[in-house]
Order: sequence, then C-alpha cells, then structure tokens
Amino acid sequence: MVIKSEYGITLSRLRQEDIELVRKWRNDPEISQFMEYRNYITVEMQKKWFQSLNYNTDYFFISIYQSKKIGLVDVKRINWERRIGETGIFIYDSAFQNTFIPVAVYFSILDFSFYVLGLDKISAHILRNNKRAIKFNSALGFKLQENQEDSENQLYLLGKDVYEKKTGRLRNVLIRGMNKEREHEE
Amino acid sequence: MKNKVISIIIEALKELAADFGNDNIENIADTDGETILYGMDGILESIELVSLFADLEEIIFDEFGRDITLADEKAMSQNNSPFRTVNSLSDYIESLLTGDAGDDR
Repeated sequence: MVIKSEYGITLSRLRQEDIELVRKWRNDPEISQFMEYRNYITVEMQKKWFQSLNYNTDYFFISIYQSKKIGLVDVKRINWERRIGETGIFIYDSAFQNTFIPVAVYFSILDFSFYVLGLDKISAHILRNNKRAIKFNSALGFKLQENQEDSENQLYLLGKDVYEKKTGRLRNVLIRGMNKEREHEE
Repeated sequence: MKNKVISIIIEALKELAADFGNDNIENIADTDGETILYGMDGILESIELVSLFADLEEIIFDEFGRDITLADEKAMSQNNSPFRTVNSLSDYIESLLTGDAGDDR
C-alpha cells in the first residue's frame, strides 16, 4: 500500500525489507530518548515485533519525501468498533527538523486515519518530558486525558471534529504550498 | 514596503510567541533581523513555522490585497532558504508581492 498525500508526502506500508532500516533509526538515541521503550532493539526483537503486527489494525508506514525515506509514522491498535486508533511518528532525518515536513507527515497520517480508515478518534502517548511533541500535538487539537498528570507516558486524544476545526487553516497552507509547483506546470 | 513587511513579520512572531509560549521568539524585535527562524538551528518549531505562514498569508492579504503562498516546497529546499531569517523572509514576501519570485497563486 502506497499513499501519496496532498502534502507532498508518500506513505509506504512497512515491509520486511525496511525493518532493518527502521531498527537502525529506532536505536539512535536521538529517536529512542522519546520512546517509552528505550533499550537497544536487536535484529531478532525487530523481526518478532514485525511479525506481531496485525495487518488489519496496525498501519505502519515509511514516510518518504522527494524519494527519500525520512521516518516512520503509524496508526495502530485500531479498535474498529469504537473507531479509534493510536498514532505515532518520528522523523529520523534531522535536516527536516523545524521545517514544515514533520507537520506534512503528521497531517498525512491523520488524514488517512480520519478520511480513509474512517476513524472518529486518534490517541497518542507522549512522554511528559517531550515538550516539543506536547506542543506539536496540542496545536493539532490533542487533549491530555484525565488522571494522566502523574504518568510518564501520557495519553492524549484527538477527535475528528476538533482536528478539522484546529487544523483546517494550516492544512490548506501546506496543500497550496506543496502543489504550487505542480499547478504551474499544468 | 520592506519596513512594513518586516513589522508585519515581527508582529506575527510576537503573536505566535504568545500562542505557543515560545520564549525564543518573544525577543525577536530586539534583533537585527538575522535571527535564524528556520531549520535545525531555527527558533521556530515545525508547527510554529506553518502557523506563521498561515498568519502571514492572512495579514498580507488584508494589508496588500494579495493572495500569496509561503509554504513553497521549492523555496524550502533552496540552500539559502528565504525562510531562514526575518530579513530573508521579508525579501521573499516582497518578491512575491512584486512578482519577482514568479507568479503566486
């Protein structure tokens, strides 16, 4: 499965051949410091994790920008009855830090979750010391849930209606920008 | 026009500082316009950058009656990105307004 989002990002469903690359990214302290599981991941552990994924409820994608694999993004543990899933994202390539690419990748997975999968709510777990991610997710409308103040890995929730209200303007800015060149070529 | 565009950017950054609680942005008015806004060393995080673009596009439309697109993929990938500093962003907006950066929307 390959999805080309309106934001110039391609999401390619995670395949066996990519899991070593993801393991390398995931073991980098720059990435692992923001994960709940921070110990070293071995080849075997990675294989076992990949085999444990449920194709119908765990959507992991390699995010690709301008033909370059830049990170991993997902919506997982989908409960189809409750129409809810959990999201996660990391951009490995530091060249894209503080650019609009992380936002474009996140909008791509959230649009996929709400408009393709038809979910109503998305959750996210964020380490409470990860101020950057808290700011990022809060700006998109994610709300810290009750009784999470003392948790290390805090639960946030985002409804589709809030997502649309909070991000409509920002999504339009990116869609216009990412399609500007294409429009000129037509 | 340049001074007006710079003051628009600075005002937008101040609003952004208040919205996001970013202390790094708050003192931007005291600088010479060369503070790094964009990229790895920039004071703006991803979501703040996109919010700044949205705010500026709206203000520019209100002030100049021109519909510009800032989040330009091509501009982002340039070695000397026009989003890098207040001064370069101001120059870029000016060029969009005068048509020197090619047609906008």
